[in-house]
Amino acid sequence: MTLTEKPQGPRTSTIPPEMRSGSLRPPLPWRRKVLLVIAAVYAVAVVWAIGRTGLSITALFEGYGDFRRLLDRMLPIEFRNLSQIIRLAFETFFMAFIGTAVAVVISVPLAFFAARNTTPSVFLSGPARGFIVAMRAIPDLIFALIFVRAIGIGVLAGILAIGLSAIGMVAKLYADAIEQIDEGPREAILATGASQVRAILTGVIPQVLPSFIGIALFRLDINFRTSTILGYVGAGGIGTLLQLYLSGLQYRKALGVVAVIVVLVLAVEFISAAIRKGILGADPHSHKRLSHRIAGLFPGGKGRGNVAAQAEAASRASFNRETLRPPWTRDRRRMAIFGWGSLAVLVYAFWSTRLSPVRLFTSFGEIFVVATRLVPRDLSWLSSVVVRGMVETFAIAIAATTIGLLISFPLAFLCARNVAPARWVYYFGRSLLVMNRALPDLIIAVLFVSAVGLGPFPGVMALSIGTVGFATKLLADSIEEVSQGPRDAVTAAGTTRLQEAFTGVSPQAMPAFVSTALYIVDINIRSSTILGIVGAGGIGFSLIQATRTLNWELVGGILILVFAMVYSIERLSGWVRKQLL
Amino acid sequence: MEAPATAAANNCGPATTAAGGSGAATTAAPNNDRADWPTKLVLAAVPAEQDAQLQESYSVTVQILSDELGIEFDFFQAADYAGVIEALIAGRVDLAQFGPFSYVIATANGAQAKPVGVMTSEKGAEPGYQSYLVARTDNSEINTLNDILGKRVCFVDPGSTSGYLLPLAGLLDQGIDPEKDTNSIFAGGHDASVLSVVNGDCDAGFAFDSMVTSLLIDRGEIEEGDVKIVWESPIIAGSPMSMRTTLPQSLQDAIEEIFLNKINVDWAAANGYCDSPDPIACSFSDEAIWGYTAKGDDFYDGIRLLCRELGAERAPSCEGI
Repeated sequence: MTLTEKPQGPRTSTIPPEMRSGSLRPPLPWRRKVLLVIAAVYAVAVVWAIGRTGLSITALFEGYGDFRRLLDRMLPIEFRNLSQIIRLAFETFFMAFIGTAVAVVISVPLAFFAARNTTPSVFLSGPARGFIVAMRAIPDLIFALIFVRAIGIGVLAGILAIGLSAIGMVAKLYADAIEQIDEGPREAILATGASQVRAILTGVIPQVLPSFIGIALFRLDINFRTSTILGYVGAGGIGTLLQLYLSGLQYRKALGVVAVIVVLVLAVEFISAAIRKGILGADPHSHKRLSHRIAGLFPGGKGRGNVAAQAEAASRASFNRETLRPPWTRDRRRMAIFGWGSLAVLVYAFWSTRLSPVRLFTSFGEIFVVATRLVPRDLSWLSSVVVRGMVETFAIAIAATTIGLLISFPLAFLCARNVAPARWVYYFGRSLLVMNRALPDLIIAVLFVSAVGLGPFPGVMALSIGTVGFATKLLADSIEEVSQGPRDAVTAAGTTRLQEAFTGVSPQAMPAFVSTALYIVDINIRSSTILGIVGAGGIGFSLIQATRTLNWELVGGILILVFAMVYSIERLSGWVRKQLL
Repeated sequence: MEAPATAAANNCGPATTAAGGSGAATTAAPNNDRADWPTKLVLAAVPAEQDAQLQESYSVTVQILSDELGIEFDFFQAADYAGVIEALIAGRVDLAQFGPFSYVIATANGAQAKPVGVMTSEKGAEPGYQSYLVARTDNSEINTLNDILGKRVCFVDPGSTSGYLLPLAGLLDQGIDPEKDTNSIFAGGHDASVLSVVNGDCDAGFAFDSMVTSLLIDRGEIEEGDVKIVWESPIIAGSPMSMRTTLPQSLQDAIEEIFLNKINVDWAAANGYCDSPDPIACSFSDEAIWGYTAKGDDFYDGIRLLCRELGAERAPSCEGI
């Protein structure tokens, strides 16, 4: 295959004036101009953020000795009470599993309310979207702190914290998936006189199911890792042990716990990749192909696979009710096994954490009571400390996102299956990413505090490193999705490997890159709030201290500010994305 | 917007206090040998266990220090002590205010530091605080430490002195092993421990004294008389201001002189740093204190001894002390 687009040169009469000058550059409509202005503002913001957070390369080099000395105290890793670690790790995994289930159950209806094409009314989609962003704005640690106060200590608080903060991502991605559907099947079903609900059940759900499952599995992975920090506030799981070792500065044992988590995260990732491959098709990333495959599984879908053909043949032979049901094909069996298997794990998870599902739902009432106390009555909580903290948090997030992405960009090419120079580079890179994602931000932050002192500088460094694992994975995944055609074409033209990566791969992956970058800013604003724990700057110190001292109005006030910041960036990034893609 | 500052000069805490006027430096320095003094010092604070309020704190302490020494100060706050201790070990923090157990851990991990003074609530008072065991007032079953056998008991977290180490020692003294003889739970916070008792998640719970007697009541979380105090621990050594001992000796002497003679409500009020000689008006710390009193490193030997008695098996955060 080659590039099929024909150059528009021959039709001279329609060439716009700016092209007549002989320039091959694309024209510059006002939207591109606005984007350039935004890019310029962003560049200024980065310079400001670097100044505001006091980043300094020389300080980093000067601190290398202390960094090494602390690293020597952290290594080698020690395993103490391995059986206890493993037991707690499984408890954490089950917390993450139930939390993910809670998030999915709440996210599905929420996403249908929020999605432009399925919402019953614009008056519902607005609040639904606002709620989703609010869930994303609140750090899971703060959720956990609040729930521990609201419903008491233990795994329930942890599960709810995981579940509610996951809604912010799951419901958003679900709504995006719903907005990307092919409207055909739904219109066809509506034309038969079916109700809206029925049309959604048979016309929309089958199309989005693969994405829904893929997103849920990805979130399970994230939830498992983030749940390790919840022990910090008494919300159960392996985090309790991690916090215990960190509080005694016993880094070797803490890293022993982290190592067990890495192994389990790898296992979860391996299993979920196998599930995605098994039930969603060989290429779990290609949404179109996925929905095509899945559509074939359902009557009324747009698939024209052998399933439909079989059914048609059967109905011609003789009409009986059986033929109206889809046959048990291999794919459908796999789907059923996955469905029932998940349910079994869920039941086991409830049993092993000794949590009553009823209690899960009754707790929402108690949470509501606490939530009302978070609403500030006036502005008395707004002090210069809070304003300075928010400005600093913003600066940390901008600087860390930029540095993290600069590192992630080249790394992503090495970690993408289809571009990596060698198989071992790919596997090595991917394992490093998992390790990076499992390493708690706080340990990284302490290392940098030792090297460069307290303040926002070590916060930026820790968050940059933390960003790499996540951003590189997302970027590498999108590189793996690029089409081979343009790459073959430029290779045939005699490019080097590096040139091929720039001209054959990058342009195709660019939309995904932009989305990832904007998503990372969003995440980093939230994560930068936890850095205050170790004195690495930002609003986090005030937020955590206010929660500890039960100053609910201040907690609520800060959360509103974080929400406003995340929401503005969300709106801006949504607009930028639309212009670019 | 705020101007970009020099490295780390602005922070979540009160902004850097510039060195006070021209002649300020002459007051404290016992001699003129200031050649080896750094141009800037770093003060870091972790809210100690018994802290109650979040306020624009430490501003007066930082002001007096920078005026008296003629040195600029950076001030940082952290919610947990790990970062501050590591910065102290690496010599990137010069003065650190944290809890007594943090001080013990810091010195055990190679921090070259000593206490310059310990926070005290009243002039001449012995600096320290206590741990309480509380139960619901209407719970007639729990009246002594022995009554918690077989009951659900809330501790704070395994690294807390008043929320775990001291209660553990008290229980072991009575022949009670909380792991075997009770159903013990870590509540994650002193407030959570008390609130769990009130809402019935725990039959009894440990917490530091003022959480029970004032903080939760002031905040409207519990009513006076909701809980009763079943047991009181021995006094725990109070929170030290630790100083890096690798600073020049003349500077160390000057800092010590300021903490022991000037950072107290009487001197600060007399010299115009606060409106009246009372702990609320003079914001020395995030806690309402009179000032600092002289204590040496051996003041914390009690906690070290406690740790060795408990052993790393029972109290993992005590390992290496």
